[in-house]
Amino acid sequence: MPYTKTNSLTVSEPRKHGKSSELEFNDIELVEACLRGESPAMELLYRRYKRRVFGLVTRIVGNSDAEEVAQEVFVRIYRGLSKFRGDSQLSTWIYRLAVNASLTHVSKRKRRPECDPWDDQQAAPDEPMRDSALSRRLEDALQMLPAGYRAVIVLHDIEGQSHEQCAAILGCRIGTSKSQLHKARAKMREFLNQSLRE
Amino acid sequence: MRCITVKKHSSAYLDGELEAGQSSAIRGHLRICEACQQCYEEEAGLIAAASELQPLDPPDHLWQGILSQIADAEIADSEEVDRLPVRRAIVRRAIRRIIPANWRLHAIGATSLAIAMALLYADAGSQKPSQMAAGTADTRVEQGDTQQAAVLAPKATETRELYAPQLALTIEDADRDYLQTIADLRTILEEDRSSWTNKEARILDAELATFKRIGIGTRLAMSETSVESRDELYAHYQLEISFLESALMGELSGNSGSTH
Repeated sequence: MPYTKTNSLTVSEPRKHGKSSELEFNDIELVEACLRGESPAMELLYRRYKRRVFGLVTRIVGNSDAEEVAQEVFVRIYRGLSKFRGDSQLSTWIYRLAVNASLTHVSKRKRRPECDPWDDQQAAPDEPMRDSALSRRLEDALQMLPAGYRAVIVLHDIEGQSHEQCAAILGCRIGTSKSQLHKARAKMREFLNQSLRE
Repeated sequence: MRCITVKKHSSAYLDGELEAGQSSAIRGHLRICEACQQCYEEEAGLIAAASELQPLDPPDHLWQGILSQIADAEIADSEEVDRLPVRRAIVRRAIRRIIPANWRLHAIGATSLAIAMALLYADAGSQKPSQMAAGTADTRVEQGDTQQAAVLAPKATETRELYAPQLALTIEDADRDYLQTIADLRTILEEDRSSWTNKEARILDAELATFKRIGIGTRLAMSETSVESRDELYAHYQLEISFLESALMGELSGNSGSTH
């Protein structure tokens, strides 16, 4: 019998848990439901983390490759959920996957011909910032930073993660996270001043 | 406080991580140093602006793309399950060459010869105590008790006179079997390389290099004709074969591998 591939995971609908609202799912319950292949839970997990993952990935790899990397990150999340043991927060685990995939992508891209990673055509912010020119300069300066600096500044200053969380996500010591952030900010200031002078 | 100190602690100050005394000293310096004040304002402005950057929404079609990739991966899983028994059979066939105590079983032939010759000596009334010990030692070797065998074994020169040539051939066969099996499994594994991630390949290569290095070291350290010195080498080979088998079956976890 010919097999028809389906994107929908509703091919088999295992038992439901009767949660009336998605807010009732904590992360552990959400993971368990995803592991049972429940498509509403998978979609809920996506909705819960899509902005954080996409924002982080976009700001590390740039707009041109963000979609590809974000997709890869989510596939890794769903395929790797069985390895999540709850030792850390789900968000930390997801951020870690996203940062690792992004940094790996950036290091691979270094060998490819240079392209503008920040392409106006894609992924514009939802609402204009108070000072959209500053926002644009900031995003441009971010793209000029080394990838490691970019990761720590995105996690701490944009995503609002603590140094403890940054260290857990980046797999480094808290002191390293602090010193990297300090250097990253200094570089950012340098690039921003340069762009003002030009 | 000096400018360089303020510069060093500016991030920590802005993140509220300094003690009250240090923070006060920095504020004091900022009041009297225009250059540091300007740097401070720039950095504070940068942090404020970064925190106000808008979240980025992924395009609507991303979710469909994710579902499609998951579907592809699960179909591949399904096909992999079908391939697994075939792969298992190939690996088993390669390993079948080696029976864990293969060389010992072969050694029975050599031992039998030694015993027969010892009996011949006995019949002739010219049996030497050392030759009797040789027969006993080999019997114990068959049982895997190599330590006692080593104690009971005669001196190498006397042993060689009696049965060393045949035993040496047996050992040579066993060595060849182990090395050939390892080479075969490594070849099969090499064919899978294209499907590994860079990280997996790095981990696997490191493990295989360790196995190779220790195998060569163990081999160099042992006596060529000594039965008991083979135990360590063959235990190592078996460990490597077991590792390769797990790798080929996709059963390796991140920290698995050799216990060296």
